[in-house]
Amino acid sequence: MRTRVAWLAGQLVLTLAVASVAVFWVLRVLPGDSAVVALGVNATPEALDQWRAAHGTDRPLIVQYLDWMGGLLHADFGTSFVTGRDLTALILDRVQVTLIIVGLGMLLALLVAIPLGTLAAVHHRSAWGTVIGGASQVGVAVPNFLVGVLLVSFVAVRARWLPAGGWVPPILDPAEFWRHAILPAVALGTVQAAIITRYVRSAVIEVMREDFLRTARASGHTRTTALVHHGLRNAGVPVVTVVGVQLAGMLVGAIVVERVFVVPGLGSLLVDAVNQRDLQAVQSIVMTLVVLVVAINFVVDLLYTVLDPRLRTGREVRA
Amino acid sequence: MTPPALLIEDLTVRTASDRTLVDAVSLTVAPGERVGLIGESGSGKSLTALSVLGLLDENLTASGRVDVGGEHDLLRRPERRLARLRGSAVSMVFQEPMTALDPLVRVGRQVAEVVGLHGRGRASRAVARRRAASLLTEVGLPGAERAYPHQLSGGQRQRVMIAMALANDPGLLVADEPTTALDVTVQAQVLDLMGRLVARRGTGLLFITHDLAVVAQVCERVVVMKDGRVVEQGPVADVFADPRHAYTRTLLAASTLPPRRPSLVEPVPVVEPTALVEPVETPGPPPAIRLAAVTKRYHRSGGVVVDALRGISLDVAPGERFGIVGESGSGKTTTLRLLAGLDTPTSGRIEVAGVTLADITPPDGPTSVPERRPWSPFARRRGTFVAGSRDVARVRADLQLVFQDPMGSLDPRMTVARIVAEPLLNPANRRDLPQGATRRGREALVREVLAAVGLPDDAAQRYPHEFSGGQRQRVSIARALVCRPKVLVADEPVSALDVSVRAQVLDLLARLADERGLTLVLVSHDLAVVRHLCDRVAVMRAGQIVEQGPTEQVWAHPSHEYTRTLQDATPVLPGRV
Amino acid sequence: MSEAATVGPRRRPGVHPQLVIGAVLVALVVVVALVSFAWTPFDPIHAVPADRLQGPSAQHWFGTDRFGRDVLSQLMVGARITLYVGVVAVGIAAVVGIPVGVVAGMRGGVPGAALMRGADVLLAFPGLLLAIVFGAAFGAGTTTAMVALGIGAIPAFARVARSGTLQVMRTDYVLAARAANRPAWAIAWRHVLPNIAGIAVVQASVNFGLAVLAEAALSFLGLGTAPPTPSWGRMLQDSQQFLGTYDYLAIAPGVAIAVAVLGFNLLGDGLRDVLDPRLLGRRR
Repeated sequence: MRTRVAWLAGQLVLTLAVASVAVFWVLRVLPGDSAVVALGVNATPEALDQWRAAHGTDRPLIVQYLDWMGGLLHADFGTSFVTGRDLTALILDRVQVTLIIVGLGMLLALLVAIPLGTLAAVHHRSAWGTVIGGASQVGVAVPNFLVGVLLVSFVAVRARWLPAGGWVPPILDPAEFWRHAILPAVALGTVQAAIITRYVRSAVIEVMREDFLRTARASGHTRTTALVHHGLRNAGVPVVTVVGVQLAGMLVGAIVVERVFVVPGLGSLLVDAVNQRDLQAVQSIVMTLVVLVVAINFVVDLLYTVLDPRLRTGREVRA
Repeated sequence: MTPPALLIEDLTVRTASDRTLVDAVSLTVAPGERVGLIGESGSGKSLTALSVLGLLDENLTASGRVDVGGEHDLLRRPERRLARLRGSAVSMVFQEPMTALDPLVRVGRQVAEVVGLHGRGRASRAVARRRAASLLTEVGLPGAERAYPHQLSGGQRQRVMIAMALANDPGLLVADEPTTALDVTVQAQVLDLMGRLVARRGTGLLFITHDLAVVAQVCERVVVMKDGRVVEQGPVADVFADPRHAYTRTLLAASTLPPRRPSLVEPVPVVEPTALVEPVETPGPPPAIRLAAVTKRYHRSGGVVVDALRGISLDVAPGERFGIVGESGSGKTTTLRLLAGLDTPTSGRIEVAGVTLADITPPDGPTSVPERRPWSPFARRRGTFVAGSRDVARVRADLQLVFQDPMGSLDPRMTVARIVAEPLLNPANRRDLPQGATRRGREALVREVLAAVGLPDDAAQRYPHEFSGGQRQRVSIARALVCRPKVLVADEPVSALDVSVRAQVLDLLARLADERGLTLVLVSHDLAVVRHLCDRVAVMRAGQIVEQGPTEQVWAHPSHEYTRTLQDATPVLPGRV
Repeated sequence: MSEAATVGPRRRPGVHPQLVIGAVLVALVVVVALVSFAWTPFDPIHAVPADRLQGPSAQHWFGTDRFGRDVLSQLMVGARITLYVGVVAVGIAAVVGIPVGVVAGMRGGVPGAALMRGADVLLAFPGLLLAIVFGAAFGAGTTTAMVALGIGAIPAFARVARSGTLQVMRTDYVLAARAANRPAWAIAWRHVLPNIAGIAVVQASVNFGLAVLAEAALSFLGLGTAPPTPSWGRMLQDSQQFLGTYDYLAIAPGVAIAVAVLGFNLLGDGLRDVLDPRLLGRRR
């Protein structure tokens, strides 16, 4: 168990190191001189030199990289080259917003998907199962921003039940916070619910074919109680992986949904930075997202170890 | 009169598309009686068993009548009421010990759960736990409560299954091939345990198996099924001594493999020159295979070291038929891999067909062996000799393999013609067969070898899944022989086949070995199979050869205790030794 | 094989609703894209201010946008970009990912593990994020988008190919081929690739759907295909300012995206049912 945690942590660090080099390379080195990017091709050499000295881009690349990384390790994202704003405060502020809607969306998705997927699996040979299966299949195909756009149109603009966009932090006004957070979370969660429903369904169907479920029935369980006592926990192991992967995907999916609802999250910040060619901000925002994605994968791997005793003892599972 | 433990009348099982899988089966098990239900794959014996507990797949429908003890007409009961009977009035042990237990739950809890489910007056948790502990002790696993299934061996898991099945003292135990996946010695222990516990409780037993000898050992009465019907039933002694139905007779005949004709006085056979094989024998030929002090150590993840072979030595003369007998973990498969040059030994000397594959002096320390890369197994170390790829190629041209699983050893996406022709694509494999260089020449060779293994002409253009298990094994043999090797190594070639096919495939191997002057190495867990085919035998256990010699001598006068254990554990049909 | 498995339900070959519906939807998108080269009802780019924001009618089936351009014509031409991005992205991912997976699966040991670790680092960058990064660094556009989406999908193909390869390499027929001294490339070509082709095709189909979604999202963010070339994602983006009044502007491209993705997903699922069980069924 301990060796496995150490091994996973090692992988985490290695992945982050490689990823940070890649991000730095792609965003700082490949696009060319940041000074030219910032000041335009017509800038005088003196102005460029001045800019470089001011922002430290005249130093060797490795020093710039280490400087950047050193800052990240202390949660210091530096200052934007373009806007001159303090990125640290900005990113930390925005990341909360994104995490809130992603978290709410996933919660919503799980609340819908787990019962629905199980139901679809149990009845997978009957009409009910087909209906749920078909509906989730369609749901997976719908882009989350279409859901968002339709929600805005019907719930916000036409019915005027909820605001079409904007954001109020929960500490400021909890009621208003909820009114603003619900639609983005629903837009993110609906599609996720469809995706996870499908995975829950196939995991449960898979587990219903397992010999040990037959054993449970042979020792006095009904189909249903066998599934509840032995099936769901076993089906949970693959579902946890999927939830992890989807959570990572939602962080990125949130970029688009934040755009639809004008939510000031990390995604909006990223798109603005891209449009302003603020590569230094892009670099730090992307790295923040990568850290979150990798951290989620790490937690999933850990959970896996906790859920499955076969991974705990280190002894190989016989094929 | 007390009601029978099990009464089945006119049980019929149909698929949704109205195919009949079990056809009007009737049988009874008296209280405390042990009844064997016998049949080959597809006979419907397992479906009959599942019907009793109401565990049939949802798209199969069962009709007829099933009574268990005093409970009538189980087929008409709803799932919830059936569930109350399962595990208390009737319970079941399944074939696959590896997958039948919930991998995420400790075995103690799984046993306790069965107790709790039917708890007389709602057994409290503590009571159920104590009962589980005593049940595990009863099946010979004291203190195993906190183990997870994957920490137990197959035999131990089957013991857990038995503890669960007998937890509530049911009137009937249904056991579906409970020992088929186990080693013989483990099978003997599990059968013995099951017999004792069933007798102590007066439980009726319906024992499903394909193995007649097991039935003879365990049961009082036997029911023979074929194609969904009962063809014969009666007391074991009567049926086995005087079978009425032709199918029973076939089964009985096929189940008993006669020992090899005693040509054991002269183990080095004379090779008959045939049209196919040029006589290559010279006076005093070197052994076809020689292993000297061979060891093999594997390094598993987590620093676990497995000594698969601990110094084995054996010689196989050209033309000899040599058997290797052992249970799982004995190292017999590792031996095969080394012979075929698929792996390199940790130390020792291996010669095959006149080529030295490896000659490695034992390492000084236990950790000096470098991590092996699977794809280029011949990592060099100072002071060692391992054959280069050209020598390995020569060995592989002379030595071919036949595998256990007749489905898995044939690529499902290739026709039989392409499968069999594949070895010919390698130039080194066809040095004596220049015609193999052309497509037409290969087709002719394939046709010839398919005829030799007794497959019909049109077999070449068909795919593996269109054949039965026995036929697939013939394809496998054809592929091994198409390049005219000198040595044929067969790894459990019949253990996945039905009894009635087993003898045919073994006899084919024997005939081909004779006709083509092959040296045959047969690896099997089954002493009887080796005795049927081989001149000499080596008995392996835990990476060592405990005994070797002429088959009849080892059989009649085993010198090692383990050989005797193995022999005693192997179930035999009465009066047919 | 257990007795129950041989008598269990078996789908009749040929009749497979998911496969059929999926194939029909995909074919619809492909045909529309092909037809758009030869004919569209109106010029999809030419603005006709007099006809702006007309609802669906006999003349303009799906109405017109704020510049008076015909929505149906834009949808038809947009199908091209959608398919183009999908084909190139999936192509890049498959061409790089499958060999990586096969080599990693066949070699094992340190080189195999290193290859897979390399591919796994990419997992930290979901396709959309990678496309945004590339867009920031090299300028947004169709080419950037499809290359980024392709690279982002490499680990998915590599993983599928590797697990399939590992399964095939464990079989006795590979052992038989090795015992017959066949070289590694021959085993890869004759045994591994044909046997993992099925799961690779399924993966391709599923990833195609993902690429369509991601391209639409990028265009929606203004980081995809540049105007005036019509693309479904940007049509949706353009519709935002008319929400609640001209909803058809959002619904038409939205449904188009959903139909295309649904088609590829169904196709993938159907193919999985048809192709995959043979590979899995041999495990026992």
